[in-house]
Amino acid sequence: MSILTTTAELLAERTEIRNDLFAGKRPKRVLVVSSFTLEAACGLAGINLLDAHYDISLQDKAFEKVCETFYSDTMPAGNLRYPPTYQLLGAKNWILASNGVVQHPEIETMYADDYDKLIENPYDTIIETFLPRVCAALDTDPINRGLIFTQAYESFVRETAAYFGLVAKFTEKYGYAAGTITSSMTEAPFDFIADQLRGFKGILMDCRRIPDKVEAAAKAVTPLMIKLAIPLHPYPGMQGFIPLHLAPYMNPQQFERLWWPTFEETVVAMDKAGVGATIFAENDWTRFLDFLTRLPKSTVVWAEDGDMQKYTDTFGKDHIFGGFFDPTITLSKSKEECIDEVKKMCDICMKSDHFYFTFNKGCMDINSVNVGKLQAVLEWVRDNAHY
Amino acid sequence: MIDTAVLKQTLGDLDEAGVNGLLEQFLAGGPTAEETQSVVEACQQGMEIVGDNFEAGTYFVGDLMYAAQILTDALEKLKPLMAADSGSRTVGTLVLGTVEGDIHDIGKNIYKALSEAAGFTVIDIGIDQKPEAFVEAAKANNADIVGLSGVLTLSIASMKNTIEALKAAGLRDKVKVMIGGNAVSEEACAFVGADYWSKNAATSVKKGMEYVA
Repeated sequence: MSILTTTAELLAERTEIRNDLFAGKRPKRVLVVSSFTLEAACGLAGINLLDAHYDISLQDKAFEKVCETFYSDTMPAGNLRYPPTYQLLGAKNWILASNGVVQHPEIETMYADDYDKLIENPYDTIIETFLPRVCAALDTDPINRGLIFTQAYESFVRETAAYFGLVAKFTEKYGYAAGTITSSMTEAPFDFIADQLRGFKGILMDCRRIPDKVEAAAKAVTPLMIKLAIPLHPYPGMQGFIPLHLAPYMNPQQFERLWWPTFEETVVAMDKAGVGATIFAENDWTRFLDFLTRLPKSTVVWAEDGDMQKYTDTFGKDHIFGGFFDPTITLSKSKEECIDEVKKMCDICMKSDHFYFTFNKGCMDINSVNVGKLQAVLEWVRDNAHY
Repeated sequence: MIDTAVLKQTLGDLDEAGVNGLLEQFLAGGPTAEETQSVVEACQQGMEIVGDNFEAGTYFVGDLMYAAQILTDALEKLKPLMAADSGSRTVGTLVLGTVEGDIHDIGKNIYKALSEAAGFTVIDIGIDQKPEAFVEAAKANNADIVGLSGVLTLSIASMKNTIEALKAAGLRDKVKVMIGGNAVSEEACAFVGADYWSKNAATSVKKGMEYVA
């Protein structure tokens, strides 16, 4: 158990650890960033997920349950997707599955012969051609399109404000340090074209068949991706979130030519504007560590998988990194074995002063973990992972 | 008649234009059903080269998908000339789907394409499928293998439910169950009670071939 008892003491300790980590100083101990999505929070609290999407008071209860149950130095529960907004738009890129989980299906909003249009005028083409394709409700006359878009935007602002209100409430109540991730969100330019326009399969075919156009399109949308990441007035120490997607599926030549340059340009532009990039490296990025290590020092990597030793020896020399820990092992391993795994991880990663503890990805399903063992793991890190 | 060894290697090299050129040449010669079958087999062998390169780490998922597309396009061209009974030359039957609560299908589709190339009859039941749907399809098609795909961590619980349903239907001992996708791991495999797990479509196909050998 922590010897710290009051919220003020907890806040002071957590803030110091968080600030030291982000200032490049060796913190007194490893920062613990637990991460549960709304889906997992509802599962834990016994709340119907579909109901919670449309009732913020249920999200409030679900998040509180996570805060009560799991140790974390930062707000441990979060939500990224708001069905009401997507439903107003008739969105095909974010839909509700049968269990109420918002998911991104494979879509083709842009066709292979649309590249020239996108390259010539990316913003207008996205607004006028692609949005009506991906959002059925916007496929109408300009007046109604404007009205529906405004309605959806209003819904998005309302949902976001309510959500961040909860984050603020629990951050204050439980004495959490400021979060390590989302204050803004963008995508790597190539991933944006892949995820939202051409689809996973489409872009990978294009990389082979029309690489020049893919390269030009990634360049064309880069200013938009940079604009998404940087608010008008970034606050000091702000981090923007970038979930990375396609690179691990590409061969080295494609990565170096088509994926990397515009991503690097985006992260460098963010850094210059005072916004560090917290990137979620989905899949295994070990083979790209030489590239990641070139990124500005403000870049944080949240790794899903990969060689921890290599991360520690390369990226971790000057950059903050965390991840790797798969909470689902708590279902199949004993408490002692789970703690042993974490201890091994800390033995490797704490050779760097820039390591923080988090899951290999946000926990989406409370049934995929053993609550008691996961509690023990988090508390072990808090009580033992001291520098 | 074209040189099937060249065709095999051309597909293995992911040379789409080269494959198309060879097939045009082949089709222009008015081939017999038997010759067409040997060309189909050369294409399938080309996919084996692709699979080997993938396993060796010289090809990546994008390369695999590109190869599957070249093969699919090639089979489309060859299909009208294939003998009516050639479809019956199946090595086994695979019932495949993304489990309940998960709508992702990219990995499933790659695995499907590679399994078809390897000679499996694939019954793809789609995404977000309930356990009963897998049970029904496995029963109706006398499946050798049931493939459960999932990207999200919550798909692990659905995989477990699906395998429980196969047990309850008395099918578990009659089929091999393979799980694949970003969510799976050794721990997940043990937890759900599957026979095999992989995030790699090419190795899954090899394992599938072992199961039906």
